[in-house]
Amino acid sequence: MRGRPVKVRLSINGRLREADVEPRKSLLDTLREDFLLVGSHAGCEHGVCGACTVLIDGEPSRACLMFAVQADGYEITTIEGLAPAPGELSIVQDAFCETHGLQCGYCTPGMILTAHALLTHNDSPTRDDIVEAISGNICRCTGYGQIVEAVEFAADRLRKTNAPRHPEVAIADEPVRLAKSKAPRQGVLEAVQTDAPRGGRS
Amino acid sequence: MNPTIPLKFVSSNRRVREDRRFVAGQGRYVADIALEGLLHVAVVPSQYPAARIVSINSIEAMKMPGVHYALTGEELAKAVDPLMNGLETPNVRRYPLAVGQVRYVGEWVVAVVAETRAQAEDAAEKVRVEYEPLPYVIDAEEALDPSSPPVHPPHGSNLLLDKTFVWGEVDKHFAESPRHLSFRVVWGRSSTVPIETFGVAAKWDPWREMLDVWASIQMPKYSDQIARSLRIPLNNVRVHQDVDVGGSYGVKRGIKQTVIVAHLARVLGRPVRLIEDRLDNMRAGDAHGPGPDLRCRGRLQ
Repeated sequence: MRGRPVKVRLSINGRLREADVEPRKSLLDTLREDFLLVGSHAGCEHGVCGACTVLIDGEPSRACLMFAVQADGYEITTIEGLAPAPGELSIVQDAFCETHGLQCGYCTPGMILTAHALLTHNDSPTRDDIVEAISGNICRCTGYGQIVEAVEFAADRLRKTNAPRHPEVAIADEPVRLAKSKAPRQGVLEAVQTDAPRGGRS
Repeated sequence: MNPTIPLKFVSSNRRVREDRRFVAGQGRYVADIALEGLLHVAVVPSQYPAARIVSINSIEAMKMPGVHYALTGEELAKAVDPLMNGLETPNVRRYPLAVGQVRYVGEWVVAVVAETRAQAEDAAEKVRVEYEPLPYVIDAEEALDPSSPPVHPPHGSNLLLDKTFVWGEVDKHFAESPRHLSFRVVWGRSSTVPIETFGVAAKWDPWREMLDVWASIQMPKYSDQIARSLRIPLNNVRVHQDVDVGGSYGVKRGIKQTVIVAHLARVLGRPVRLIEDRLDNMRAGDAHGPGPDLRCRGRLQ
């Protein structure tokens, strides 16, 4: 039922923001209406489709099933918080463009946040890991094939980005393994081919 | 075409222009469009598969905070023409809100307008509709039985179209063929379900007599059908094409929704929007496919 608005103080994408909201107001409606962060979408509005997914302390959560007053004190990340700068994309976002892991784009913000959380925990997910991770996000356009491909592609890029450029320079905690290995390393970040004028992966 | 010149676009790996904004959460769907003074609609659905509407009482609803209007089918039917149905059935009149009778569970009966969707939903719960339940039929074959209750009584029967299409000398060829084949195909009513429900916002400028529409729509002749129902010329309807559509798969038609908000925008002098929630969408949106029951006969040479 309705109730008097209460003040909530939410940490959204690293910024502390305040709003007066009714206790019954969902986090999703609050993000969209009070903070104009409309990248989080209403789909089923009962926790099934995942279009409203945001990260709460880094974990994917349904913004439609959580009241704004419950989110007080957590770190909330929305799709608007993933891009490193205006006009730039995160590795995961760019991977979805590269494999065209979307069509209408409505489920995409939730899908990317879920993928982002997976790759934060696991930089080498198997196909099964990926399928399991995105099982709570429904997409009706793609058939999921190119979404799984996007997450695999993003994982590959992240591993390469985070690997040392010069393998002979020992990393503090694995000097022995690096010193012994003669195998070619994948540790060199390749020139980003997709920035070439024609686009595309080779 | 010169086969020696390599194709520039075909079979080449390219990025899709739209993807960048979608992955950044910068799509522009109908629910993202902010119009100054925007009012919100919630609908009151029918609880009966068939019933006569005896009375509608919106007095308590109108007293609720933020409420501007409660529109009934009877009022709307005076101001708009029936929706096109593509059939020659002048006595089957489909209006955006039920007029006099409801014909399925979930059919929209009253549209309540308020400052926020939540306020409109609160008020919709206060609308009192008195019904007199009528007999109903839910099976297509049963509906053709003359003793079944008519869905549209003025039409006289439940048969809307009876047409024979003949290509070639069917009788002759059937008589001559040695092999016969006959089978029946039945499947349940089905629908596609986009993650984004249908939504529409409309604004009426009385000085230019211009209706501006933002909707989750891709359908041809959308503006034409709206204009006809609202009794205004087609060139007085401006459908904004820069609205992203969150999936459609053929079900987003949205005429009744658009006629409701356009009429309300004309009456109230403020932009009005109706964004279906999932329940609105599944029981009374456009997402209703047919349930075919096909009797097939063939002859093979």
